[in-house]
Amino acid sequence: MATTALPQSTYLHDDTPGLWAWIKSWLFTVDHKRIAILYLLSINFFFLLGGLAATVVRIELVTPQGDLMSSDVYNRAFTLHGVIMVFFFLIPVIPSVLGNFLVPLMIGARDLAFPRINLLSWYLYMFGGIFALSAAVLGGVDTGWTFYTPFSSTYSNSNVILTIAGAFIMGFSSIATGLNFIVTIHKMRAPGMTWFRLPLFIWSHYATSLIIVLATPVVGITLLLVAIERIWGVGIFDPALGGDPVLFQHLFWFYSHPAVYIMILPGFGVISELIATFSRKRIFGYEFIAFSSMAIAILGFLVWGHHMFVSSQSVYASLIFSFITMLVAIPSAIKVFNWTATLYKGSISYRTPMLYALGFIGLFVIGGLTGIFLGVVAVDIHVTDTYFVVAHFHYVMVGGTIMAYLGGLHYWWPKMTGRMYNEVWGGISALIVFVGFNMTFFPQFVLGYLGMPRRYHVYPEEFQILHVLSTAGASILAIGFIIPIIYLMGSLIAGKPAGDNPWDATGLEWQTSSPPPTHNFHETPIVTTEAYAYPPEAAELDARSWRPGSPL
Amino acid sequence: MATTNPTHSADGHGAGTHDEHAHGHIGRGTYFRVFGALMVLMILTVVAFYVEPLLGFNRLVGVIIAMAIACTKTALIVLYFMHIKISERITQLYAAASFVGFALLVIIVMIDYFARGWPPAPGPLP
Repeated sequence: MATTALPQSTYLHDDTPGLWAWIKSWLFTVDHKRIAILYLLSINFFFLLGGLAATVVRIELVTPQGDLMSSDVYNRAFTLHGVIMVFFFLIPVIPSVLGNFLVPLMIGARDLAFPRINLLSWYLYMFGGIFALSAAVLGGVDTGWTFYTPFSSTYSNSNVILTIAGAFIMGFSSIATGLNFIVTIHKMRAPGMTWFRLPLFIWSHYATSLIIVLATPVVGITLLLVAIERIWGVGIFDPALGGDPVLFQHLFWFYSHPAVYIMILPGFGVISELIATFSRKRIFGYEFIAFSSMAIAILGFLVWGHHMFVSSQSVYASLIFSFITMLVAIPSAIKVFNWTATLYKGSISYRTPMLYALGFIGLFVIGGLTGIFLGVVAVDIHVTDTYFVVAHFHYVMVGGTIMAYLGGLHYWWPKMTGRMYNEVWGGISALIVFVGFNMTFFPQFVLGYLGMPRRYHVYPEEFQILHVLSTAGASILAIGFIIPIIYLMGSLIAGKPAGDNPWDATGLEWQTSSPPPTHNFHETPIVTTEAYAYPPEAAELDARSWRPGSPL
Repeated sequence: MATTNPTHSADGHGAGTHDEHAHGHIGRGTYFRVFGALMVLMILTVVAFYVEPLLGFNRLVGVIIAMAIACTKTALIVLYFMHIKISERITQLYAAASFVGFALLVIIVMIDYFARGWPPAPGPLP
């Protein structure tokens, strides 16, 4: 399986002479794999920046008094954390990094349908990021990442427009990526790659793209309206000018609730790949998992009002939104049950990506079930704007999206770079992330239930022990995120060549060299079998041939 | 999972997809006629604004008339200038889906507005 040297002709190699030519070959590339690498670097940069803001927030909360910063600076710190993490990390991370790299490879295409639009999407992402960061440098913004009106449109004296402009531009980047995926999946599948032979990673990216192209324009226009009201005083959201602040919440959550599925659906796709590969089994209920992604995408458009139970929204609207929210649990549960059924009697190997996948299932179940609590009007009214909500969405976004991203990154790292990383450190860091994450966010469920409101930098003394626990967990979590940066970078220098298919996985991406050549395949693949076509007896044979000392 | 085919184009067009070159064509004359129709509708909007008060229409009727004209103009632009009329079925489906999404947004938000205050909030305790 493993080879002794990397292939000579890959997308990473350049014959261009000189440093400037090399830089140009990256900055003007239209190769989807190189654009994925550009995204990998820039998105991880934003992740570290958002993490830094979170660190400031957590340090402040170690003590009940506001002794590190004023309430105003605290507002700006958690807003920076939220804006960066939501708009510049969680939404683009899996589609733009893993999706960009893998969608063409998985369907047997040479590139995405619109390579130049793909490059444009990266530039738009960077411009959006520069806008948001310049807002932070010029003093920050204090509205929270939700930009609720009329505070954002009338009263806030911080850099609202710059930040909104950043998110607005970033929206176009998302749309470009989503559009590219939809057209590519429809038009560029290899011969024989029928819809029901597509890897579930592709199904989930298709569902995600659907949400992106249909919902993102709404938030773009909404943010633009805030800017228009702020600049010209047109009465749209401010009641004093004849507007309605609740209208903003409707428009904002029409996008931002589906945006949660933009964050988590690609993660589902990653987990389906990992579970099948490391169980050595055909995924259980392929069609159900595929259609559950589409069901989540569609239902996701009908539940936004569950963010507005205390906003003066009509009681009847709240009841309907509450009922539809319950329905989202069905396709989500279908996925979890099918992954678990895939594990049953599988030949499970606890490699680093699988540790992240198993962690994902546990954490997502907690995140999802607490979402059901919050979907019930009576419970939600009790815990609205408390740390219970903060814990819930971190379980979904960090426990879900980031675990899936890290699992996927470790799984496809050998394909992206051609080299293996240190498996021991991989396992250790996955465990550290799992422990650190739970230690950070589980106490926040208790804090919220006991009444600790979110977005406050001072709090009663009886909450201190739980806050200290949470901050200690965040430190552990940070270590868990830093270790992979070190050993993954190290693998580029000293990692063993991975070979084309180090995990013995199915899927077209594993049939080409690692790293792949510029045009992905030397010959167009013709697909003749379903996805995850592991031989039925693979798990049994693996179990029989296992000896003490074999890799887990 | 797969075998390879050295003779097939590496572009790898989608399995089972239709021939995408089987598009229709919109002639230049049609573009000018649609443009003319848009201009007429625009003038109609302005005229309606001034005429409605003279005929004693209330504001709601005026809004309905203006919306009807605006929707007609949108339909013309989408069908002809955005080529949806001659596009593939999947493109038409996506265009329709965006309108369904928009309709959901407007209808559900309006339902919330109409239903506010149902049931009436109980007043202060005696």
